[in-house]
Amino acid sequence: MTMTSSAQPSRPTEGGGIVIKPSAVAIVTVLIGLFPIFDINDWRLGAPVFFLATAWVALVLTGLWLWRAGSSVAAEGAGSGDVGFELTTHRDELLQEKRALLKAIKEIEFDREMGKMSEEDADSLTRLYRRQAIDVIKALDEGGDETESADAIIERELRARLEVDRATKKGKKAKKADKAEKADEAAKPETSATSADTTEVGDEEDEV
Amino acid sequence: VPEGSVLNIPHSPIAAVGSITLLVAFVVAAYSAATGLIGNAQHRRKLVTSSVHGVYAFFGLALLASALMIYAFVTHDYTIKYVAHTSDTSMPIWYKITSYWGALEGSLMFWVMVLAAFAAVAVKANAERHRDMIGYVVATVMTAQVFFLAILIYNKNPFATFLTEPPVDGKGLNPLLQTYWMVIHPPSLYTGFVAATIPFAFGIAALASGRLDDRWLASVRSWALICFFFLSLGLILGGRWAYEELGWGGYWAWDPVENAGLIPWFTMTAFLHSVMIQEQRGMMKVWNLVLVILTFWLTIFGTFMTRSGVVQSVHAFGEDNELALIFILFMTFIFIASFGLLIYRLPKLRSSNVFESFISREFTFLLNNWVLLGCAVFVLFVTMFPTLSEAVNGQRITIGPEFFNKWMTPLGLLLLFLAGAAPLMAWRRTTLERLWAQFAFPIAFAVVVVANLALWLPRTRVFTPIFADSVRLPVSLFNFAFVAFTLASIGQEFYRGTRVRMRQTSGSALTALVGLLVTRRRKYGGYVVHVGIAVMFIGFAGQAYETMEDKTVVVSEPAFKVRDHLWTESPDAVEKAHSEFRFFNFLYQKFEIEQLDGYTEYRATVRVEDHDGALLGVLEPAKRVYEKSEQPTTEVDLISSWEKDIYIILTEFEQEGNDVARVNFRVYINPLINWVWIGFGILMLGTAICLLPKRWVDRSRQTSAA
Repeated sequence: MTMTSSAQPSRPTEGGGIVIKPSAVAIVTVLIGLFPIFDINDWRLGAPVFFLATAWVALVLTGLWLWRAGSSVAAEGAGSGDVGFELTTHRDELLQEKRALLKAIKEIEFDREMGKMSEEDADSLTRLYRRQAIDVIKALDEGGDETESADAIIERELRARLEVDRATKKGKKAKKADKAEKADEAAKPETSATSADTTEVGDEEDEV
Repeated sequence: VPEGSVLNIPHSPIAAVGSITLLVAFVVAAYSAATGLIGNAQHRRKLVTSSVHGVYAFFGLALLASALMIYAFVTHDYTIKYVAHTSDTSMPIWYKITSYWGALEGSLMFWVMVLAAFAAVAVKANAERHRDMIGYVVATVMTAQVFFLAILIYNKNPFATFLTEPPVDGKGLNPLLQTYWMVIHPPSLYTGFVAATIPFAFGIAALASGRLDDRWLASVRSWALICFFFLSLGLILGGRWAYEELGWGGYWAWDPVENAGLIPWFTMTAFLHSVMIQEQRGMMKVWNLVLVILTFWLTIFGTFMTRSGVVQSVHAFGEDNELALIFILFMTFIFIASFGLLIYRLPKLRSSNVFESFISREFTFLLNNWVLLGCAVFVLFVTMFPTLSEAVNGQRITIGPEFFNKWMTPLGLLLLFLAGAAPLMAWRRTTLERLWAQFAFPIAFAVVVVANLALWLPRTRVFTPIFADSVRLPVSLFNFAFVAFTLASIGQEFYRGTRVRMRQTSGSALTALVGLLVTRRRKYGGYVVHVGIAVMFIGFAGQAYETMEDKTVVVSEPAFKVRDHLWTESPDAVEKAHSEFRFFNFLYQKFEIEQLDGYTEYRATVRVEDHDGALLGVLEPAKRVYEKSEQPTTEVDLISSWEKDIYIILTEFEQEGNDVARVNFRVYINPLINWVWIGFGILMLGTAICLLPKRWVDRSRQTSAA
């Protein structure tokens, strides 16, 4: 019989022995310990019983986590590798820049609609940021990015913006179209954030 | 080995297990810090995973130690010195439990407990997302834990026992602390202090790992808000406690211990604003790191101030030079290590953009940051001035609240103006024409409000000094003007934002408003916070019209009058005829002495009527003399309304045999004071909106889509 630190449930091993999950041992230990604590106090839950029981649970949990900490160290060298320690790559930086630019475009759109920014300022800034976004998307494409091409993204952005205009005029009818658009985009995880930037003005906080 | 050291193995089983738990916790903290650091630096994933489990194990140990300590309190284990010094058998169960953090040793252990819980949650939530830096996060948090545990183990062991025979009963908790405000005030403030550790840890981890993009910010936004939330809660509850329990007549006296909580509040508030500039514009990366480092450093400095005896305060923990030295060493270490790392990474912290215009939101945020940092530096310097002056020339020069008020009032008003102005600005730049279109309504509203106040409430025209006694301005009117401006500005933002969203989603106004609050919860939740701040300033303005009068009554002459300054006819009415004043009429009715559980209460009964003789209420101010405390406590009584508090303190009484010959009262009329608490409630609501979990928002969106 062996103990494992994995999250797998207790199960028979190939050799016929049973692998016991440490958390199962912890639960059993907690229950065994709680019994005398409550029994001595005639099964009445007062403050002393509550805090003593808490102390017992904490002690067992500490044991469990210490076991896991030890198991992790013991497993060192068994193909642990350095996965997940890569520093920021150029691609990461490009993706971040893309997100920031699209977010900026959306914020300008919102500021314009709120009357804080003039049409001229908003247009010139949007053009500027869109040009920069195109460059970034192209750079991502060249780097083997699996997202849509820059042209496709821009085309879709325009379509989305038209969709918003239509929604303004036609009310609920356009809302349905917008939902359908969003449903389509949901099927493309990498690109959904891009289009949502211009269709749903209020959603920018959730994308970051 | 010092007497308070954990190495003096105690006799009590609870104390022995508690002491051993602290020792094991110290080892686990040191282990986690080392494995996190080495694992991350050498890219050894399993080692980092082990350090993460170490964080959880440490939480278990902190919980165990805390549960044992509270168990000792509720079972009256007076073999433990800390229990004997801060509780007694007659105390209600809630005060026994809260005695846990009622004195120095327990408060440090409570700090360890809260930080252990926060660290476990933060690490659990980010271990995968930030697996390239989580080891450094663990190392940073656990280094702080090693520091606090070292203090507990070396000379502040809360489980230390008596070397001689233990007492039969405890000394009891300080009577001033036996109030429901103190049940929640200290943990709130500690929680705010402790929450500052998490943004600091992520900031240091970003610097150490070289991952200096915005991702670390995404993980600390909530923690920064939690820090802001609890610091605000702790400060306001402390104010309420001082108001009700200490009998100051006010809620803020610029006491060093209050200031210790306020200073990091300034820097954390600055961070909450500047972080948006980095997210929106890719700027101020260095500044944001400086702010998280400073905030954490200031929380440790605040702890040092209150626990070392370096400043004198009514609620400091007392003088301890050894503890002061340990804190100074740790603060020096934090300062050198953090800023050293920051300087090392400076080349990677270039801004992606530049300021395009002074008429932009980012510039107003920058101004806000300068003012907030100015406030922090000013309050820190003036708070420490008595200590510094003593160190330089041997004379302790104390500085009163008036000096703080003279300087902090204009700074506060500037912040209030920015709270209204910043939301009206666009990011990047805006034209003067658009700017006017945004500012027109709030300015017009402020003008109308101020004109009406000046006309109908002449007292608001009072001139008060700012910066110096010779510089006098109608500060009160400025205050109301900025309050009106900010409220109108935020109202306009909500109105226009709702209209924009209605156009975009074709929904109703209510749906659009809720959608705006939920999907842009940080922005609009922040606006709600601004509303709360503005409403609090209404209460601050009331200080200009407060009345404080000392009155003595004798049995033969039981009535007295107190002026109501808010409703006097003109600012200089003090010099005018008696008839121009409004008064409150007080009628002393009786005096009682009552023996209660553990204390004797001396209580007067006073009937209060308004100017026209209508009954406002019956007040019962009292004094309590506790059997186990030499210091009598003041039991304030008050009548509250939206307009004012009538606040009375029993200051003295003179007994002649079994009768009372003379009674002294101090009466305060505190106009508008309740707006401070109302504003604070709105501030809390706004912070809660900002903290709405993304999961809930997504779920509600899915539900509405279905």
